[in-house]
Amino acid sequence: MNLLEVRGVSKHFGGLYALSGLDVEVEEGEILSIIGPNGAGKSTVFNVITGLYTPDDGNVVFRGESIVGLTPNQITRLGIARTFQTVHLFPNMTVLENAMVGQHCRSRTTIFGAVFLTPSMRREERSIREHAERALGFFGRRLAGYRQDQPAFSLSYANRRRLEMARALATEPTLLLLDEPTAGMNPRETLELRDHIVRMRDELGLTILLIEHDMRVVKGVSDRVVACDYGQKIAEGSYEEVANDEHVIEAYLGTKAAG
Amino acid sequence: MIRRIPRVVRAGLVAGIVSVYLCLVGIVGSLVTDVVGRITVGRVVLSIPAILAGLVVARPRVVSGELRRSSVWAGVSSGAIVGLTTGALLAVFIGVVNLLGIETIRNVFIAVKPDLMSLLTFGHAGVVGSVLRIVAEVALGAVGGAIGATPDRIRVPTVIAATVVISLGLLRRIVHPALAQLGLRDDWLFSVVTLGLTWFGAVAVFVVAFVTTFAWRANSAAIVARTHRTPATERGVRLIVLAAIGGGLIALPFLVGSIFSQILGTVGIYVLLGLGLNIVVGYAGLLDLGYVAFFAVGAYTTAVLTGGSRVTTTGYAPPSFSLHLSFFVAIPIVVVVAALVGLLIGAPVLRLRGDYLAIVTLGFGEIARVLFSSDWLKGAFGGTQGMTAIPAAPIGNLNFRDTQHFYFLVLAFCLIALYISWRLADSRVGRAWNAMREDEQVAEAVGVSTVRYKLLAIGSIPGVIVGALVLIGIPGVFSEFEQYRLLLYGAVLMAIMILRPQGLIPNIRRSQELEEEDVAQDKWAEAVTSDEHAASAASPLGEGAG
Amino acid sequence: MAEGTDLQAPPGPATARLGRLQRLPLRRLIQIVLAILIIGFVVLGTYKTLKLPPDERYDPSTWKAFVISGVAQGGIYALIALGYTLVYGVLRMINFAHGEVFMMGCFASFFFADAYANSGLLNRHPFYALAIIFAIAMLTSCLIAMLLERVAYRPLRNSPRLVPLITAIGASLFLQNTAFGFFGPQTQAYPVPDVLGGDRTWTIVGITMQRIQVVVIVTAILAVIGLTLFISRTRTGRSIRAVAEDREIASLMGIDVDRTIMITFALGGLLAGIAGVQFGLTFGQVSPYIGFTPGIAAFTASVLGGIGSIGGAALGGLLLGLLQAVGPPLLFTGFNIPAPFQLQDVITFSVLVLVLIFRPGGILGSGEAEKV
Repeated sequence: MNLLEVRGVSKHFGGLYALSGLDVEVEEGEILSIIGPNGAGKSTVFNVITGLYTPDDGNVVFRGESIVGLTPNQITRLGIARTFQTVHLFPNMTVLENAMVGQHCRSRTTIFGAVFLTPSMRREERSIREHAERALGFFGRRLAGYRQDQPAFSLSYANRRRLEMARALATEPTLLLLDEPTAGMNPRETLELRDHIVRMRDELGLTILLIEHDMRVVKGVSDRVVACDYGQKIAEGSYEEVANDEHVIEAYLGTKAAG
Repeated sequence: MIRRIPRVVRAGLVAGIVSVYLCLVGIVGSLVTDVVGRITVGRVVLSIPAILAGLVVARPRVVSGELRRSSVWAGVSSGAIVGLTTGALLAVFIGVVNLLGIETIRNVFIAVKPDLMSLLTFGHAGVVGSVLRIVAEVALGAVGGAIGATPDRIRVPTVIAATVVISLGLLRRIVHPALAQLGLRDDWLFSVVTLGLTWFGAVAVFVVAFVTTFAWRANSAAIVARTHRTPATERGVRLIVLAAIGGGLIALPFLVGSIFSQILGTVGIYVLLGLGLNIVVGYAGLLDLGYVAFFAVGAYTTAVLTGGSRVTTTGYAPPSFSLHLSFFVAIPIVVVVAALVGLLIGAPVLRLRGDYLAIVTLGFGEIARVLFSSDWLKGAFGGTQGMTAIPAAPIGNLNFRDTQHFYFLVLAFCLIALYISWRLADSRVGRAWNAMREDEQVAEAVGVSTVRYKLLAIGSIPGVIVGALVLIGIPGVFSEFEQYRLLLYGAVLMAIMILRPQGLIPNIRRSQELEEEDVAQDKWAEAVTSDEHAASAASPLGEGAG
Repeated sequence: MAEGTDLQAPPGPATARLGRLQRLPLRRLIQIVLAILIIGFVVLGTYKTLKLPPDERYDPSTWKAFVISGVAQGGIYALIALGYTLVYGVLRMINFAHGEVFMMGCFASFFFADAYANSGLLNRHPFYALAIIFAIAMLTSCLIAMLLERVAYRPLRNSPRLVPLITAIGASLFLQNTAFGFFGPQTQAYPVPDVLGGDRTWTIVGITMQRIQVVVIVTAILAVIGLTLFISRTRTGRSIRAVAEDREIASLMGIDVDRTIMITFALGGLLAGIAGVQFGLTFGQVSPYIGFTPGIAAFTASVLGGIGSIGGAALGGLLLGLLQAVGPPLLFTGFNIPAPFQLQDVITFSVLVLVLIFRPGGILGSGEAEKV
C-alpha cells in the first residue's frame, strides 16, 4: 500500500507554475529520492505535503486519507516530519530543548500541569527528555554530551543539519522528508550522513522522501528515484533507469556529468 | 594623547548636547528638591553627563586586541578635556540665551527660566557665569575621568556609594517615616530645613557604603575560594537570601506608613502587569500592545456586575445594566467574559506576523478605550467620567481598601504570578512558546499548534485579575482612564527588563564562535571518527543510546 | 483533546487520527461570521441613515462638505503614509515614531507662523511666509527622522523584527515627551493667513471648497508626484529601490546602503513636515499629542493601500480620509448614536484589522501574506 500519494498537485505563484499536475507515490518502508534541476518545484512539493502551502489543484493522501487543508502541526502529528533546505533551528534554545520541542506533538501537559507539578506532568517531562536524547543519540557522539546544553547557534553547520534531523526524529514520524540534507557538508560528513539515512530506514523503519543534488547520495540510498522538471514528473524508476533517461539528461543538460 | 583627542572631544560634545537637552526639557530647572545640602535633583542630573562622559573616556578599552588602561592622571586630563568641551557647549547655550533674552527663548522653550539660568551660571551674570560653568564642567569631567581610570576595586565601590547617597537623598519621604517607626533619630542624616541629606550625613553614608562594598568585594572572592560549594550550602545560601527578601517585603508596609503602602501596592500592580506581559511578549514573542484592553474589560465588567455607579454631571447614577453580585461571584464571570473577548479578537488576527500583530493589538486597545469613554456607551460605562462607588470586597478582617492589606494582596498575587511564570518557562508549554518566538513557521512544522499557543498566551487571565484588583484597591480610578496608557508603557518597559536578553538581542559574537566551533568540532570528529561508526551502529534509536 | 499517542508505545504514531472537528477551519469560520456581521452593520447603518425623516437628515451640501474635507484629510494622511511606506519598503520595519516626526515638524513651523502672525508678515506676504513655514517644518522633520535613524534604528539593523519596533515605540514616547517638556503641554492656536482663513472659498470645476482644503490637496498631489519622479527617475531613487529589493546585493553593486537608508528616512521626514503644516493650517491647532492619532491613521492608510507601494500609500490615505469623514455620519447616525465622530478611530482601527485579516497585502499589494 502506498503510504503517501501526491495526486495531480498544482501550485502557482502569480503566473509561475511551481507544480503542474505532479504525481508521486511513496511506498511504505522505501527511500524515494526526488531529483531535478533548480526551480523544478522540489521544495514546493514538501511545502504542499507538510501544509505550508495549500495546493491550487490535486490531492495529497497519507495513509488513505486526504491531508489537504490541515495545518502543518496537525500533519506533523499524523506522522510526517521534515527538514528544511536552509537549516531552521530555534537558535537560542539548547540542543536538547530543540529536540524536546519535537516531542511536543506527542505530549499533552497543559498550563495547569506545568504550574501545579502534577505527577503525570513530571512523568511526561521525563519521557520527553528520554525521547529527545534518544533522537540525538541516533547521531552517535556528534550531538551528545556537553553539546546538548549549548545553544543551537553554537553548533557547526553539519551539526545543525544533524540536529534538525534529530528534531524531526523526535516527532516520531512514519514518513520523513529530507530537503537536501547534505548541502554544505564536506565529503566525509556526506558519506556519514548517507549511512544515517539508510539506518533510518532499516533500524527505525522510516519511510523517507529525499530531495538531493548529490548524485552519489541519491545512487547510494534510493530504492526508487523520481525526476521532475517544470513541476512535472519526467521519469521514474531505479537510479540507473532514471539517470539514463533521455528526458532527464535533457533537463540537466551537461550538469548531470558532474554528479 | 593626540590620537585620543578627537574621541575625547566627541564624548564632550555628546555630553554637552545631552546637558543642553536636559536643560531645555525642564528636568534641570524644575526638579528643585534638595538631595544633599542645597544641591537639587536638577543639579545632580546636570552634572551626570560630564561625569559619565569622562568616565567612559578614561575607562580601560580594547584597542586592536589589547587592553589599554589609562593612568589616573591621563584619566583626569582626558576627563578635563571632555568637561571643557561640554562646558564650552553649555557656555554657547548660555551666551545664546543672554543674547536673545530669556523671555524670547521662553516663547518657544518654556523651561528656560531665570532660575535655570542662575543655576547654570551660579548666579553670576555675563561672562563670569559662563566661565564658572566651564570650570565646573571641567571639574566634573576630571572627576569622571579619575573614577574611570582607577582600578575596579576602587571604582565600583565609589560608583555604588555615590548611587546610595543620591538615592537616599531622594528617598527621604520613605526613609524618614521608616526610621521614625523604628524609633531612630535621623536629624544628623536629613536636614530639617532642606529635607535633603546633611553634608555630614552624606559623607558618613558615602564612607559606610564605600567601606562595606569594598570589604564585601574583597572578601567575597576569598570566601568563595574558602568554602566548599556543595549544592547543599548553595541551597542554604539561597534560602537565607530568599528569607531575607521575603521578610523585607512583609515588613515594608509597616515601616513606611500607609501612604507609601499604597504606592507599593501600585508598584506591585505594575510588576504584576509586567509579569503577565512578560509571558505574552517574553515567552511567546507576541508584542501585545492591546494588553490593557483586557485590563479595561475586566475592570469595567467587574464594575457593572458588582453595582458600581456612573459619574454624571449631576452626581452618581446607576448604569443601564447593573447587577449587585458579590465581588467573588463576579470574578469568574469576568474571567469568562474577558477570555471570550480575547478569543473573539484573537482568533482572526493571530496568523499575522509579529510587527503587524503588535499594531493590530494596539488598535484593539484603542478601540476599547474609545468605546468605553464614548458618549454612545455613556449610559453603560459612564463615558469619560467613568464609574465609581464600586463596593469593597473584604475577606474576613482583610479590607483591601486599607492600603496595607491591599499591599499584601498584591504581593500575594505577584508571588503567584512569579511562580507561574517560573514554572512555565521550563515546561512543555514554555518550550512551545519559546520555539514559536524563535521561528513561528518551523515551530508549526515541528508540530506546535501556533494559533492555539498564541491564544493561550494572549488570553490574559492575569490581566483581568489585575484590572479587578485595581478597582477594589483604588476606588474611583476610572475617572482617570487616560492614565492607563502610561501604565501600559510602564508595563512594556518592565517586560523588556525581565526579558532574557539573549532572546531579543542577537549575539554579536555568534558568527565568530561558530567558526571556532567548526574548527574545534572537526578536530574532535577526526579523533573519534574511527570508533564513532562502531558506537552508533551498536545503538539504534529504539534502545536509548546517548 | 486526542493529542498524540501513548508515550510508552514504540516510535510511530500509528494510532494518531484527527477528529472531524479538527478539520473544520475555525479561523475561516470566525472570519466569515465577522465579515457578515460587519457588512450587515454597514448596510443597515447606511440604510437607516438615508431613511431618516427629512428634518433629521443631512442635506446634500453637508454630504458634499464631508467628502471634500475627507479628501483634504486624506491628503495629509497620504503624505504621512508615504513615510511609513518608504521606510517599510527599505527596512521592512514599522517606524512607529513617524507620527512624532510629523508632530515635531508641525511644532517647529508653528513658532515661525506665530512670529509672522504677530509681526503681520503672515497676512502681508502670505505666500512667502507660508513658503518659509513649509521649509522650516520640512527641515525639522527631516532632521529628526535622520537623527532617529542614526541613533535609534541603525544599531538594530540586523536584530529580530520586534526589537526595532519596541525601540520605535520608545522613540515615539521619547519624542512626544520631549515636545511636552520643550514646548509645554497646552494646545496652541496655529495661525492661518487671512487669505486662507475662515470660510473663504474657491470654486474649482464647479465645486466650492475652502481655500485651505485646496492648498492641502494641491500640495499633497504635488508632493506625491514629486516623490514618484524622484524614486523612478533619479540615481538616488534607483538606489533606494535597489536597497528595498535586496540590501546585500545592492551593497555589492557599490550602493552605500547606510546613506541610502538615511535618505529614505529624510524623504519620509520631508513629507511628514509638509503634512505637519497642512495639519496646522487645517485644524488650527498644535500640541505634543497631535502625532499619535494621525500617525496610526496614516499607518492604516499605508497598509490599506499596500505597504511598500507609493501609489498604495496615496490611495490608502485618500480612502481612509474619506472613510473617516463620511463613515461616522453615514454609519452611526441611523442608529441614533450620539457624537458619531467620537467613533472615528474605531473606524480607522477596524479598517486596519479587516485589511490585515482579509487582504494583508493591501489594495495594490499581492494579496498573499508573507511567507518564509
